[in-house]
Amino acid sequence: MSEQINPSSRSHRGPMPWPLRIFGVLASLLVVALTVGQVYDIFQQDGKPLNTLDPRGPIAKDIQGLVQPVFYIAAAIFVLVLGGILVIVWKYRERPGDDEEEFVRQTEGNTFLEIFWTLLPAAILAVVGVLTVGTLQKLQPDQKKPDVLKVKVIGQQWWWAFQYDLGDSSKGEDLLNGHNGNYEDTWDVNTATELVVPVGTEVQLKITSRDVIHSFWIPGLNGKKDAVPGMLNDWKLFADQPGVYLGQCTEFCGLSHANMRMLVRAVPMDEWKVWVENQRKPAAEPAAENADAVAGRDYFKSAQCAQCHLIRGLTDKTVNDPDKGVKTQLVSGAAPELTHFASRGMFGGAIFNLHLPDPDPACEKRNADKKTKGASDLENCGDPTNIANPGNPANPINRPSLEAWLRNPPKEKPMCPFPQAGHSCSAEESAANLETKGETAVLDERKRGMPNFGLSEAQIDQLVAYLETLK
Amino acid sequence: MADDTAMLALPAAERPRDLALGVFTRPRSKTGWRSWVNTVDHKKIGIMYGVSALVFLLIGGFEALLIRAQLWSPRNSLLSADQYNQVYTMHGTTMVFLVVMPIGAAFANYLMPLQIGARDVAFPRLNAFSFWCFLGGGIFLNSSWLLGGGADGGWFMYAPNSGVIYSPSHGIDFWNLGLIIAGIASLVGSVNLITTVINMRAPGMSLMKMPIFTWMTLVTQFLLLFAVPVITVAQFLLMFDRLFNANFFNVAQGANPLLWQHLFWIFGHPEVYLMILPAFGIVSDILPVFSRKPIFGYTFIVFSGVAIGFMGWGVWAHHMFVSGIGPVSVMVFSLTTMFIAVPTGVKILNWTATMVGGKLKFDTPMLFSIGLITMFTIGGLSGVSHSIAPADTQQTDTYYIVAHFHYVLFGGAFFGFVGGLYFWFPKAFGVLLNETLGKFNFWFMLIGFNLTFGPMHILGMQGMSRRIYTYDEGFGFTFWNRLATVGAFTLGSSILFLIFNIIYSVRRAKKLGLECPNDPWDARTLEWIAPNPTPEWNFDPIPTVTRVDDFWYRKYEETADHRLVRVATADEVVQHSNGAGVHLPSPSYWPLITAFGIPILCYGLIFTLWLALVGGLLIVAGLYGWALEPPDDPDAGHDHHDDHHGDAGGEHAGEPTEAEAGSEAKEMETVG
Repeated sequence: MSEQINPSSRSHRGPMPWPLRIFGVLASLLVVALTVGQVYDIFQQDGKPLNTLDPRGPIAKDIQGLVQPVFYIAAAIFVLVLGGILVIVWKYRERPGDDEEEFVRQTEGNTFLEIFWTLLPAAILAVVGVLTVGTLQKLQPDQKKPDVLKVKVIGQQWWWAFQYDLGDSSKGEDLLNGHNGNYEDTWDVNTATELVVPVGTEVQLKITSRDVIHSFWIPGLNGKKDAVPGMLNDWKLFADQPGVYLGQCTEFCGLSHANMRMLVRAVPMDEWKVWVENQRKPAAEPAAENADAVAGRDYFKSAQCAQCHLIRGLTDKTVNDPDKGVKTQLVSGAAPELTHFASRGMFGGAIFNLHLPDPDPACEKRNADKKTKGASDLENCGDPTNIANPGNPANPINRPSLEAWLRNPPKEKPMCPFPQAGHSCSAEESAANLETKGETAVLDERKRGMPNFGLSEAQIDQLVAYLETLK
Repeated sequence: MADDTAMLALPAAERPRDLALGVFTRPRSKTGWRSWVNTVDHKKIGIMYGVSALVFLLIGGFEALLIRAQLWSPRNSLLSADQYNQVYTMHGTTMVFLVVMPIGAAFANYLMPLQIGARDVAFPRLNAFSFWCFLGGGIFLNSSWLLGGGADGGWFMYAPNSGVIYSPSHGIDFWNLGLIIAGIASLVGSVNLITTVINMRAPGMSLMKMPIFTWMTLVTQFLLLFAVPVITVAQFLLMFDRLFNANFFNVAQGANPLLWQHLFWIFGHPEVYLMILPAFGIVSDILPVFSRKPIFGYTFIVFSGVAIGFMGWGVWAHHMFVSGIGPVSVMVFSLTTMFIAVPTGVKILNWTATMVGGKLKFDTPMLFSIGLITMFTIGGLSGVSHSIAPADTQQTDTYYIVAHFHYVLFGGAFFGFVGGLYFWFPKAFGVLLNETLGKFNFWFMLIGFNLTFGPMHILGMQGMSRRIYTYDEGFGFTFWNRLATVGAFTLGSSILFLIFNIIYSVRRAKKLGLECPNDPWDARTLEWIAPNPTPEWNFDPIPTVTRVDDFWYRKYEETADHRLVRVATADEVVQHSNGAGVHLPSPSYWPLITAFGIPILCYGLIFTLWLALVGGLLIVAGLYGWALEPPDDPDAGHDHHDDHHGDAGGEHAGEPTEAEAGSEAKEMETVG
């Protein structure tokens, strides 16, 4: 055995080499810079449509009202503990020339201190606990509350359906209080991807799923709630300002989980009433002189589109009548109803703009700043591919995205139209042409999403022309 | 046991074991690869756990880098959605089940018997069986990459997305069966290690004199004992759903998919604590060494660990705050979750207090320990923020959670493990790792870690959902994702530093013929009484323990005024005997053969039942061989009275032995 009795003579503990010292200092500075950068960024809200720290509705503000004080408490503890450790590490470090054999005081503990620092965090947490319980109460929807809009929210791979339970104003009923409360099989308005709500009205949701578990989340208005098949989960939203509030599915739901988005469009009450009355109508017939649209309608009706998509007034009784034994529901839910397709701003699970967006004011402001600085790299503020800025249904249709979708949907968004037992859905396989694969659109329970129909450019033009009329 | 005592009275020649099945002789190799595959030595098994975990770490780390590379830019197409889902699922599964848990097992196996003054664990052959099951499960799970693709349902594998309709590939079957196999390893191991701690401590070592790592190992093993069966049940249900068309999670048949979540998280939350507690134990043993004073509040550290172990069972539904479990449940689990922060906070403050008034030396193990305290504090604070249920409705399933649990499991558990590796490497291999490289290792890891996971807090609060294979421009995600990717590669390089350091230090020691000092750190706990590297027999004789930090107080004595004076050098205290007369359990191939049958059976369940038959036969053959092989190597110089009753792994190696020349001769006649 080697003679290594005195630990200070250990060969591995020489003075720290200078590159290591410099490196250590740089590393520490980097960590500090990172922390400062992050804290700074927390307070920046521009260009972050899903930001949880920028609550826009009163419910989300309630949550933030709880998060904020806790954040400051946590920040204080963080600074105290980490600062304390740094001070201790510096103060009690071994110094060169210290005698190894001269020992510090061998403290083994202190019961008073232990009890103190057991009770102190417990007390802090008790305060936080009381605040939490209070806020939890506020978040619970009150089922007896009058003047609320009731909507059933249905998640399915990979889009959201919204079924409104409304009174019938043509019969003198109140839209908000005339609901029948039956969430199982009836609905008055059925739409997808966009939840249109009146400003200043509580929206009570019953959230469920047709297939796997999803999670409904509009961070600007409230936290999230899971959509569990077989359950109706209560949740609520409240928008006190008109506007568009983006959301994202947050429970992993398979292949296109990333591409499952939705949005809430809050509009003034009178505008919303007009919207409701329009949604209740069956689909508009295309004008006879619009030959493309008429051809598109005929193609839609005759081809496989109507196996999955409902257009009330066109396909409901002829193609999708369950009494005739026609299968209308795949396991992941029927495809979105298209009766008023063109009244929406986005499609495809809110990952494409159906209409051109309004120029984003923040972007225009950035451009103005750049112009004053003489920079030339201006942004395209109405860029239809920028889906953080959703399309406005009042604007012209965003043709390129819709055409690309019709050309080959699984190429635009991963889906699984041709599942095979024992295999996962490969991108190439999914994007294959339906007809060359010798399949039809009649769906078995494993098929999920729209296949590539191998449409010709002429058919695509006609379908777009028809879809455009479905206001 | 009555039989047992009766047997003891029999002369060796009359023992039934020697008659019919003398063909089952025990293997004898002490060197070469055979000595590893037939070993029942807890040290070799511990090392094999560690090495396997390191290999899985490289696989899981590679998967992590793929994830980060894919998220480098919006709508990146390095991985398809399907590939990404497989990669992230396998990353999580690998890191939890094949890296962090087995590293804990590696330390527990190697160190715990040494820390309690035992010569091996209670059931050495079972211990080998545990390891081979773990390795078999890990290889089985990863073989899915070559057999049609990995699992794609996330490591949490929520029903019904894990059903055969939504995930028709075999990935989830591999996941399911692979983890059931690994679960056997954990369960068997937990029984073994609990028995060891309870029964095989050296004379004088009462429970409250055990080193804290051993304490935390005990708590961890109890958590495993109760948690693993729960996930195994869940996985059996899922297996029946997927392979035999059962309806446990079939909503159309009235199943409630939340059943899976409850089962998964009743396992899953104690799982979190059983991953972190071994690392807590490690730093609790390292900090006093480099502070040169005892751990502050030994009792409180021990009991806060035990408290965490108990409270860990009452918080699982905080993973389900938004799943629709009802407001009362949410409230209750919100409060219980908050209060589990108390014992954790007690630990952090006690570690800090240990350093106060010390004379701190910043060797690499100490740096990693301080790294753990600070990084875990961050993870703990973000954890408290999740316990606030309304806040959690905004945070859950976003990158904020990803940041949180990486601060806990990487910044906590993994930092502790690396610190432990630097600290005990000389104990296991007789080589000190290079300090300069170690410090580079630490700083690279600290920076890389914070660069990777720090920005994820921001990403989560800005609304970036978890488990998405891509994101779009315009949401403010790009910059922080890039930073995280840079960080991930930095972190990856720090792992290379570690591996390089091991290779470099071992080679250098070999080349220069460096001898490792027996007490390189001026250590405190019992394992350092054995010389470095630990000899096969651990202790000769078994030490008698008088207090916590027994090794330390053999070197130093306290004067009346609480000053320490040296009374002995480390080399005087360290044992120098040659192990003559020590009986050790004999090696065996049967644990390996039995464990080898299980993955084959599982391949059979997926592909063809005939293969299952082969696997089944192999398992039965293995068990027979195991039960019937003679308990002792006829060449060994010692009789061993109490292990011939064919009970699985009945060797009690840690007990003092009696060398009897006469019975040795008889044994050779009859067995040979």
